[in-house]
Amino acid sequence: MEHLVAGCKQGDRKAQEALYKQLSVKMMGVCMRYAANRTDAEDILQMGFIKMFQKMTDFKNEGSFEGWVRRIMVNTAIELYRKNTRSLHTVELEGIVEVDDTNALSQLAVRDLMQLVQNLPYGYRMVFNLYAIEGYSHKEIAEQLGISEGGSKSQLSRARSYLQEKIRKLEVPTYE
Amino acid sequence: MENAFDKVFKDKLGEVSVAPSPQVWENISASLEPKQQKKRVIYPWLALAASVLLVSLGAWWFFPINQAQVSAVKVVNVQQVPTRSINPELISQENLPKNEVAHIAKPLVVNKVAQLQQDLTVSPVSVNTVEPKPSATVLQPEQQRVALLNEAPPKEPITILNTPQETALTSAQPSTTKHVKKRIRSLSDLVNFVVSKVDDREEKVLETSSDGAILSLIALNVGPIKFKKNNTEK
Repeated sequence: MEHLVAGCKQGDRKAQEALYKQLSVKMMGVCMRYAANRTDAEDILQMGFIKMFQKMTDFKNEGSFEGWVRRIMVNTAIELYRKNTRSLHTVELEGIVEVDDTNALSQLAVRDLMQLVQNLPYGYRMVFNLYAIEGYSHKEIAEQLGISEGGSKSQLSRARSYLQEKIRKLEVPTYE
Repeated sequence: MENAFDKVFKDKLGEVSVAPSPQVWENISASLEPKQQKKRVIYPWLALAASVLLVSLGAWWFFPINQAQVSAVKVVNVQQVPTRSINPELISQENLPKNEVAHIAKPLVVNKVAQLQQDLTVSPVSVNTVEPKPSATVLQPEQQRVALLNEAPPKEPITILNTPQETALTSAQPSTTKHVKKRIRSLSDLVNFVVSKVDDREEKVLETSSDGAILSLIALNVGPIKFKKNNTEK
């Protein structure tokens, strides 16, 4: 990997292609969570990799290279979100019911979970991904997405209840 | 409870692998390639275009008055000389090299023309209307043409030019002053042209003439403020 990174810094085409082949599958997994569908995910992946190759010299060999690339992908998804949503999100907190569906949830296949996340409304999807999977704080999310901290919290709650609602509906056929 | 819910997603989706379509790499490598080539191609052209523009601007700025004089002479000669029979005595003296004739004849001719302009009170604008192209390179052939048409001894170029010039200028005067299609040869022409488009009065809001390299105001007509240089009266 270090070898490839060094080659990419010098603009070596073969090193760039090899690096892409090593990382693209994992990074596509990241992009999928932030996108509504495969095509949108591929757009993020493409933009993210182009940005990565251009900023290659910024990587100072501190920390994991993969982690660095992953952050680029997430930041690309955030940028795209900010570009696509100019209007402010209204904060609504009514009708949030917390249900313990963890058991049923853990039996769901990765494919189903991915689909659930992809079907989340755009704002919910961003906040849920950043908070639950990437581990960002509400403060960081608020800064990155250009919303308030309270807005981030409320969108996370709504994302969860939205997912729980969908999971319950998925479960219904199996219990009948 | 909440964290357990989130954790399921994190565990299952955090490290998911999905194969992108091969098209993605093609797009990435295509966007990495042409940028480096484009830069190399564009810059020499930009540099060339910029220098050509600079040179032509410089030429236009420093030589506008010369063209006005040469072209005035040219018009006179082209119109009148062919109809005149050339004095055989004068032809016999044309053993001087042509370039030299042009050299000696030109300043005299120019002076005379300038003087005639004042005598006949022809405004510079009307003279400008018959100018040829503005580029400095035109100057060379123009001079030679003057030389060719003036195949007369250097002593007396004025005698040949005198009469045709008077007729040419006097006949040209009424038509040129009313001419609508004025050619733009200098900055002053441009200013006058723009003003004439905006202001359709007989006495324009402002009128300019290029005096050497300097643009000078020759007439102004803004309500109570009204002024006009004497030598440009119509």
